[in-house]
Amino acid sequence: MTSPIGAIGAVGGLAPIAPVNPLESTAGTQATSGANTDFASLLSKGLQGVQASQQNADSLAVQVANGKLSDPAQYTMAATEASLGLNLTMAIRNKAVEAFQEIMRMQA
Amino acid sequence: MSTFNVIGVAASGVTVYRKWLDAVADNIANIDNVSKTSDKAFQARYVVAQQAQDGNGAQVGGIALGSAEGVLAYEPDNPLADTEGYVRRPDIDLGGQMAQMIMAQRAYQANLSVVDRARDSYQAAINLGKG
Repeated sequence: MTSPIGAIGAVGGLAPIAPVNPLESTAGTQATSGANTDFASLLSKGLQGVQASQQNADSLAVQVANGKLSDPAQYTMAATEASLGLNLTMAIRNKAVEAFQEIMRMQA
Repeated sequence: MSTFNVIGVAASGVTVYRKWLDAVADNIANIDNVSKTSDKAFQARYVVAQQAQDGNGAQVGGIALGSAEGVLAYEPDNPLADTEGYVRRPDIDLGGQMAQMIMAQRAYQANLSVVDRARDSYQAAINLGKG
C-alpha cells in the first residue's frame, strides 16, 4: 500500500519549502519512525483487520440464511464488530483527507 | 487480541451459556424417560465451563454425565417393568433444572448486555475522533 498522503510528493518541486527539512532529523521525531510503526503500515494492518472481520460477518450471515448456525447471536455480534471497524476506518479516513486538504490549502 | 476485544470475550460467554441452556433443554426433554432396570437410565448433562485456551473469555471444556443408575420406580403395569415391578427413571430434578435455566438465561442476557455496552463505548470513542 502506498502512503495515503503520497500525492503530496507532487508539490515537492516547490524549492522555498526545502529549509523545513532539517526539522525531521531532530531526536524527537526519530523515535517514532521505527521499522513497523509508520502510519502507512499501521493503516494497512488496521484495514486488513477490518476486512477480516467483514468477511467473518459475511460468512456467518450465509450460515444464518442456510440455517447452519445454531446461535444467531454469533452473527449479530460479528456484524456489530465489523460495523464498528468500518466506522473506525471512516473516522480515520476522514481525518486523513482533512489533513491532506489542510496541507493543500497552505499553497493558497 | 483484536481491536474490539470486549465483544469477542462476551461472545465466548454467550456461547457457553447457550450450551448450558441446550443441556438444560436436553435434561428436561428426557426427564420422563423410562428404561428397564437392566439398562442405563438417561444421564443428566452437565456443562463444564472453563477459561478459554487463549485467555480471552470462557469455553465449554466438555459435558459431564450424571448418574446412569437413575432412580428405581415401582410401576408394575409398565411394559418395561422387571419381574419385581420396577423400572428405571433418570435422576433429574425438574425444579433444579428450572433454576439452572433461569441462571443460564440471565447470564446469557448479561453477556449480551456487555456486548451492547461495549458497542456504545467503542462508538463513543470513534465519535470523539470524528470531531
